[in-house]
Amino acid sequence: MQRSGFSWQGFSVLAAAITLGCTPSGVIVPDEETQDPDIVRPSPGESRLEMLPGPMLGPFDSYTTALETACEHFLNKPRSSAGRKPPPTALREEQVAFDLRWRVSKEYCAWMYYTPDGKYKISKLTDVTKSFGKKVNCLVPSKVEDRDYPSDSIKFIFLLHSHPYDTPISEDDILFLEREGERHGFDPETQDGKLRISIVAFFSHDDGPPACDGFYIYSAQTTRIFKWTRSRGHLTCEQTHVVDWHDYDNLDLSITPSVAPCPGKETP
Amino acid sequence: MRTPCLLVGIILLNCVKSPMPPLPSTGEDESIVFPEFSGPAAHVVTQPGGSYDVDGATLQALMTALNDFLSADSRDPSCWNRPDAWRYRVIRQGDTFFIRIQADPAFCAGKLMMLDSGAKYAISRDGRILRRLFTGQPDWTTGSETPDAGDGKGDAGRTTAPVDADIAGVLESTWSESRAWSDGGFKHSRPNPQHEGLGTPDGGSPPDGGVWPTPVR
Repeated sequence: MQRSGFSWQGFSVLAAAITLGCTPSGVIVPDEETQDPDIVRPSPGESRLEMLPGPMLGPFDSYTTALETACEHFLNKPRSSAGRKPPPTALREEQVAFDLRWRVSKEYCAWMYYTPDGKYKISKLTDVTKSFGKKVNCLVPSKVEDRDYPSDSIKFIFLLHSHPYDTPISEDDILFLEREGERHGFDPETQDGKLRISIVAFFSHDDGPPACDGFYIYSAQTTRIFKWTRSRGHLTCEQTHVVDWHDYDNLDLSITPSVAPCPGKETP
Repeated sequence: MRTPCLLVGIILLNCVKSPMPPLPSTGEDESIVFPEFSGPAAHVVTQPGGSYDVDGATLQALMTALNDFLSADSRDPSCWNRPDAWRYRVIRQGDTFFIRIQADPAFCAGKLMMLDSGAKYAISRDGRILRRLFTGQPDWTTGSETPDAGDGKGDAGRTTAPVDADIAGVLESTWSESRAWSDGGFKHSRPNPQHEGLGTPDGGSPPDGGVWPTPVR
């Protein structure tokens, strides 16, 4: 029987379009992350965030515990992961599907900082605040404010962000990190000794309920990128890339794949 | 039937304005491989006093890339939406202009970072975008895979399997190594040109005059 005036198929497409978050005004429909108290964005009328408030997580006694906890927390946020990237030899349909997941994904950013009472904390997250004709990215302030401490007493340890899939630290990330080292200091003094300001990129291999599958880390004024992967309860490490500084004055660098064992003592 | 379809059309048309990256333009050649952009530049147009020739085709290629990267509807007052917030490098190979756009980390007064923000373009001599690749965008070019990234199966180049290791042990071992610079010295802020978008970091003026040693590996 043919019906006229209404089609469930058309209605389904309409519902799908609405579900995808598009409105006649061309903005993303507020979804759950909009209401998330962990996420901060510029107030209406403000062009940008001036600082990230803290804490979202912590206090922690060790930066490694803080790091692992933050990874899980980041990857639990909506659209943080596009899943595992198919190889270049995969079917075109798989690649297109992954491209679409990547396009709707988003990055989250925060700072891990150290407080005068010897604790590590994670600031609140920021996600996307600007798009300019391209994929939008974290627009992250250089400053954290924690009302329990004077601003200038906070030490900046790790610049944290998530990547939508398993990709290393980018050249852009390193440029900003070196700049942050100039600004905040390269070697924050803590109860664990002098650390090194570093940038971390968390990733997950899941596009369903995501979990922390690992992270890349680069420390300022070094030449290596390390990748930590969590699998079956084990955390393994390897060097995946080296950073070639062609001209530090002009922040001219390149990142080259180079696999090698991580330094330091292995766990038994 | 007509009303829902019309609504869907309106909605989808409006979705074009949503903050998602544009889909690849028809005819974009995803087989194009970008050259290595790093290394000493032949000419750097940053110092006053010199004279530089820029041919029309290069300028057109730059304008094409810039107009795509910073589309007109996004040029609001936010500092990262300004052309002068970015650094540009051009490599010409035959009739193709390869352009890398990279954030100037000193911009936004050094107070706001835009992570994973750059892009690469391949522009034809007549100003068409042959290919563009944003930082982090999946690259399906054969050979684009980084070690073990993406599919988790890439063992190319690996001589040993990743081993269990203690995070603090690895990091602190790395931090205790000599720095990437020959004197192991501490880097201070460089003198920056005074510009609305540029600012000096909190560290103030460079006590050493801003002279940085050359990094070594």
